[in-house]
Amino acid sequence: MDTVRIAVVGAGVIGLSTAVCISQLVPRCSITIISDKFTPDTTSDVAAGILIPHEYPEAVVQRDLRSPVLNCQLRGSCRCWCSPGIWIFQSIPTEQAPFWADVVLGFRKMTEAELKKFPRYVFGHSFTTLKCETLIYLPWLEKRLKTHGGLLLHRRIEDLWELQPSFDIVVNCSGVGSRELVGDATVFPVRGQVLQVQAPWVKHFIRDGSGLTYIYPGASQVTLGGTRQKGDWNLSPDAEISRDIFSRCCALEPSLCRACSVKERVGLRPNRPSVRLQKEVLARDGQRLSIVHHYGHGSGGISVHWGSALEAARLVSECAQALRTPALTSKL
Amino acid sequence: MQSGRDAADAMRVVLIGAGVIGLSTALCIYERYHSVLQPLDLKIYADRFTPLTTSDVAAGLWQPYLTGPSTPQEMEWNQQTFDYLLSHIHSPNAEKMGLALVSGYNLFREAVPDPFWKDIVLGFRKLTPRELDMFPDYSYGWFNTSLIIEGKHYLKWLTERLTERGVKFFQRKVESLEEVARGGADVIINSTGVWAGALQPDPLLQPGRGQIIKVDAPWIKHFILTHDPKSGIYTTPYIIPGMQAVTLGGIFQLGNWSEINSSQDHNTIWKGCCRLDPTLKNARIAGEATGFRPIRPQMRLERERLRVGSANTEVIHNYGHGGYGLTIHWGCALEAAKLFGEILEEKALSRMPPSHL
Repeated sequence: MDTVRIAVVGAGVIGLSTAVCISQLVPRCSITIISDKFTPDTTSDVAAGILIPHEYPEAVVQRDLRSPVLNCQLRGSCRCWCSPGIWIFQSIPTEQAPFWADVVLGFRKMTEAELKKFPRYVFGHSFTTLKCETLIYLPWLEKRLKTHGGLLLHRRIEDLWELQPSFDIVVNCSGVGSRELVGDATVFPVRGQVLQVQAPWVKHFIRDGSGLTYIYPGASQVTLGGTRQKGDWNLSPDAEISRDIFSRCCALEPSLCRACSVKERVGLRPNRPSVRLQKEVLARDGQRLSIVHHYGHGSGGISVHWGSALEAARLVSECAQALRTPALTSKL
Repeated sequence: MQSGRDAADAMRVVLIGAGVIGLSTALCIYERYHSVLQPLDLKIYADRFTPLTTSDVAAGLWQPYLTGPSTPQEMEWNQQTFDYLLSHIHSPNAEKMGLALVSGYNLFREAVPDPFWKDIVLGFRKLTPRELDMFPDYSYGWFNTSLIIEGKHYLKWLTERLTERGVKFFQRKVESLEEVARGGADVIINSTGVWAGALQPDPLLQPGRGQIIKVDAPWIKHFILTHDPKSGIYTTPYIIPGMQAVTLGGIFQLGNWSEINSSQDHNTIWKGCCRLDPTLKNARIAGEATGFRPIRPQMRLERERLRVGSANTEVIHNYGHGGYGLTIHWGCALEAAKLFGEILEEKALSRMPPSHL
């Protein structure tokens, strides 16, 4: 087999970064991204993209933030920037310093003077992390793919088998869509509504306790959030929720009341008990299709995407090698 | 102190200069004495108003010089200014005032002692090795949270507050203090900044010419200031994000009165700042400006009694704040108001009948 034909289903941060990693790792392959939604209409586009590591200390997380790619290259190409801010608590957290304290920059406890601004809060962390501006990052990933001969196709896939025999390997990065696409009942949406506003004077992020309420300043807007509505598939913004988000955020940063140009957006976080990073082979009527599943990152997609994508690309590389090894070619 | 002076005894106050020093001093005096002096006749004369003052060119970062303040008083005035501004940070008006919290880096090529203001700013600490990795030309530094008080917004806000209070503004070029005294002023407040020498010769006052480039780079959330003790303050690149645009600078020329933007300085700034933060090469240039920091070995904040004809006119000088005018303005305004209060007391005493003890 000469050129391995690879299809990546899904064009959010997981699909695009996985495709880029594949193009770097797998020799002699063609990559086609197939999705019904592309930036700026993906779930990733709604996310603020602030890199605050996921709750679970997966190895990919640590690797991700320390990765020289993120620290230098991405910064240099204007897609990921240093973002200073605070994480404040109304009661002292059991964990005084999270496992990722040394992964971010300058992690320290907030001083009394800094906490004075927030009368109902008794404790806080101050640190600088990275923020990935998805509205710029996703188009950049797309451009990189196209430069390396990748194709982007707008199409809704109802069944992965549709891609047989046109493709040899399918990488399933369909996020919350996997529930229907591959019948994974363990995937469920956690609906998040946000407001994207113009408030360029706000330079620091503020994350409140559990992270339900947050203010994440970006390059083109400030993202105010949020909600966590389990099992809610509704993609239309709810006006009352918007009012509530605005009020919660203004309580933390009163100057936001002067923010303008408010856009409401909704994203469905692809929750799953754990990320599905797994190979599978579909067989039908004597034909085979190699699948690599890569979905279910919940609220941590952007935080872990690069390390996760490298892992997925490795699995794809294994599939490609297997397909290229004559001894393993099926003679059914 | 007597209250309810009649019209004949009304205090006519003229304040010259409408930069941050002038406007804040005017507001401070008004707030403190308008109920005592009725009416308080306060006029502001200036040939330049926002956005054409020196304060409008400054990036607006609150940060004193690295070397100690000239006097313990100045230390207090810096602190008072920071505290005053910080107290407004959480108000809905912060954005209108041009006020925002900002964090960032001070970078050095070798270890230096901590600055005198380290306990005034928030969360002052040294940089970790990983942070220094982001700045390959530098090997030592600080991180802290400070404030932006952006001239354009702040002066506009001060102007609105003063106008609400009935303070009148006049555009005129004042040629001398005597001219204002002859015009009937009882008290003159001289906040003419770098041009004070034109009103009264002051060989200690010199322009410290600065040039800045304003760019649209909204992804930049930190200030980055570099330092080279050998070449002096403001001579090495700095990047300061403001309310909207980002200010790039690194020019300090003592004695240079040219108000024209120099293309050589433009290149120096651009090269230096892009080296510091390469993402700047994608930034759109939004403007460029030149301003003269009013450099003086020590600021002049003191009274002077001027004899004009047969009358005495009280002058309060408040100028020469170098590159830290915005940083120290409120403390100086409070001090100037205090001096004003002394003048009022003296005038009241001079009018009181002799004591009958």
